[in-house]
Amino acid sequence: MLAEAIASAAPGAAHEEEAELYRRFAPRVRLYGLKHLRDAAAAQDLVQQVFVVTLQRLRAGEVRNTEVIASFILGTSRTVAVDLRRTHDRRDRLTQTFADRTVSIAPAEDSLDRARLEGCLKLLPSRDKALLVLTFYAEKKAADIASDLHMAPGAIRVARHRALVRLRDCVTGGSRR
Amino acid sequence: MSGGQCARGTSFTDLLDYWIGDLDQTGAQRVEAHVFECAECADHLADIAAIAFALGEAIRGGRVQTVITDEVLNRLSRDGLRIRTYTPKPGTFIPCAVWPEDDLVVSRLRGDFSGYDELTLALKSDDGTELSRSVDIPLISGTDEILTATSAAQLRQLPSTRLRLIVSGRRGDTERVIGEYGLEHGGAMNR
Repeated sequence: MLAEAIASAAPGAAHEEEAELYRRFAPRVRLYGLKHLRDAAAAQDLVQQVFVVTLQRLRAGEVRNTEVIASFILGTSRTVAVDLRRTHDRRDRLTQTFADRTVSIAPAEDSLDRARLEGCLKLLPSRDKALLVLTFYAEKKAADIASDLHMAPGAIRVARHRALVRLRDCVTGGSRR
Repeated sequence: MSGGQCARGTSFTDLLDYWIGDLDQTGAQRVEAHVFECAECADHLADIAAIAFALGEAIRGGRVQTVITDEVLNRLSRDGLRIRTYTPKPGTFIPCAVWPEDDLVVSRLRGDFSGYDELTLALKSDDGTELSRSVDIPLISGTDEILTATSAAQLRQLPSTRLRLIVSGRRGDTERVIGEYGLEHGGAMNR
């Protein structure tokens, strides 16, 4: 158990376990941040802050049940995300008020091969492509798309997932199944 | 992502629903907790996020040819795309051109498209050469209009020519042309 090894070692001594914990959970915290904060830079801030808290608490022996470290990290992500959202909202208001035009460089978003994705989109059936556009660009719910197309919401959910799988398999050459 | 669920039984459809906000709060929290426990689902969710991001970029860049709705068209416009729209009438040719600043060209094709099992849109040059074909077009803008968006960059590569947009559909075993719309394409223009 990684968390147990970190907690039982001298503070900061379990380098490899700490690195492995980060490797395993940082991508999940980042996804949580992208989903809830809708901003790549804010998601990266979330990852840093969550791991600072998690490692400090583990090293100090303050995590009562190290077996449920995933749950601890999720709970910390939820708490820190609330604070970050407030901070970012406040920053946005200040920026709008004082017209701060400072340019910031955000970490690059993980991206697929753009040319390949666009080539694969050309190969997708029109219905699949339209479903993906309505879902990911227009951000329409399954129920709304279903209403437009006179279909059941369940059928839309399945169809858009199949469309996503077809696109993903085309982009990766089927290597990620 | 090709199978239906992870080894622990969580449906991958639920992961997609979670990502796009189509689950209620209880369902979303259940999926979220699972993703933190399950490496397989974390990987799948990362795939979904990557595709969502790349797809959004491609659409915002005006690089996707697809049927759209007015809602999508308005959003593209709000996102800053320069859009040129043509509404050709069935059986006639109208002049059209692509300008250097255009990102997207939208054609509004009007007709009675109801009652067909499968709609196809073919783009042909005047000599009959087929330039593109979209099959099984969904009627996402109602039964009397199809909005089709094409990358302006792609159209800029075409020489001056007459283009025909032909919508056909199947009723039973019979395939028939529903509407033929002509564009007198003036090529890439410069101001």
